[in-house]
Amino acid sequence: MKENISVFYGNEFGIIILVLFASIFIFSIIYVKKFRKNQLLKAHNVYLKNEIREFQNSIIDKDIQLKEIHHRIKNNLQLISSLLNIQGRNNSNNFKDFLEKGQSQILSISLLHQNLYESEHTNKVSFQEYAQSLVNSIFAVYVKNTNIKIEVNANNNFLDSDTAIPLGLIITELVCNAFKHAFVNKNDGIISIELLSSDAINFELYIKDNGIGFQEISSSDKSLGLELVSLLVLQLNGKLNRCNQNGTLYSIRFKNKQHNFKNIIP
Amino acid sequence: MKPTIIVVEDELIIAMDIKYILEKEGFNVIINITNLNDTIQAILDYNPVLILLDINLKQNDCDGITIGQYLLIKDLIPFLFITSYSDKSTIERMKNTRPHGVIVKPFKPSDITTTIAVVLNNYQHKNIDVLRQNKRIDSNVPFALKSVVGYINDNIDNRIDLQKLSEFTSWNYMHFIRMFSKYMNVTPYQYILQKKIEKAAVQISESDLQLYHIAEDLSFSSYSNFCTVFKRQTGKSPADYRKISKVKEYL
Repeated sequence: MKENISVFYGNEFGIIILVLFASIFIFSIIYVKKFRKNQLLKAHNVYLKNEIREFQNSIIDKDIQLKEIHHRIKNNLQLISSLLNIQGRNNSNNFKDFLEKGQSQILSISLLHQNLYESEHTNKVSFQEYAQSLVNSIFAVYVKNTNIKIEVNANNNFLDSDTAIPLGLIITELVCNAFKHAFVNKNDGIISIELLSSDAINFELYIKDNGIGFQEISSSDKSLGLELVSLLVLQLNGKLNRCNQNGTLYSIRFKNKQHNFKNIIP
Repeated sequence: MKPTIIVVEDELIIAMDIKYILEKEGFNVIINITNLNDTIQAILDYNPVLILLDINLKQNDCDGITIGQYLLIKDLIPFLFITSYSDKSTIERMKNTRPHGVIVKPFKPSDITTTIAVVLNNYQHKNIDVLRQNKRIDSNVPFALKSVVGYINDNIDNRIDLQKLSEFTSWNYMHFIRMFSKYMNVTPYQYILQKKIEKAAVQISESDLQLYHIAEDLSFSSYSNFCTVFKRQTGKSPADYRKISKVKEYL
């Protein structure tokens, strides 16, 4: 009877132990699974947090860029308004000239933005594309002389937008001048624009035409244009030279300016 | 000599525009100044009455606000910001330099001329403007003078009796004149004449009133007296002044 009981208990005990082990086994499997899942989730969390941080950073970046763009728009509108103001003050009788000049100046600024928008660099513009589109549009404004060709050779140079805007205005002014004054009594001609650089910091821009060249004494209207050009060259910390060489040759030496964003703290 | 204004702006085309606008108003304008050192040098060279500052100068370590801070420490010359930034953080930074005004780009010519006229006028009167004093005011000196100046402005058409002015304050006549000269840099009599001529100049250029009527309206003792004073202050006789303003208007 006692043995029976003990056997009975032994059996019972064995079953209990078995159940215990089984449950421990099951629990541990569940635990391990859970543990693995947790770790996966943790890793995922870290990944997501990083992602969020990156998004936040890029939003801040975009914010800064947006502010910068607003700033640029206003500044450029101011620039246009100032250009028109200055030119309107000095040249009140020839309305057509005034409009054509203003139109090509606005084009030169808007084309820069188009090129900036299309390029993969945020703040650099391919000078070849920019200058090419610029002279094409000036061409469209002054369609009278169709036999004049324009060559642009930028040697694959890139410029910062802060440098390109004044440079674009300079080119507009000088090319317009060439159209208007260089080929009087001539049906064909070539205007060539070349940008050279040895180290991507120091640049030289040559604008050349094979027209009639220039006289030292020029009319007051023309000298306003040249005054603007020399002002823009001054702004680039550059040097402007002009000489007669089978036509007029302008050479401008300048440095590319890097724009810094650090002034704008969000 | 013309008063000089310095324009610190690195977009030279815009600076040129401002220069034209201000030259028309009779100022001498210095442009092509783009950093702090140039500004300091220009202040020494030209002794300007006002400085216009662009905030976004493409310099490495210096923007318009840095220059503003320098000017605040010196606190000798009033300055204005001309900027296209109007976001909160920039405004906060600008406020700390206590500028005398801000012009937001894109601006109209009239924005510049009116703001500058107001700022220069305020600056001239800053000694009696109680709110602008950073010192605590122990006596009621500026208050008293303020009521005097207010009375002058209200009664500029009438003959103003200096004795009566001194009664606005608690001082005797001579002390009143001394205090007025100390705070306003001109004697009361000269101040009144100045204000009368200013008003006359506006009427001459903007209305078709007969010159002797204007003189009469401002209670000058005689037309010739008016002409002499006017010429001494503006450099032109009233008739010439009207002709010139007519020509300017026509242009």
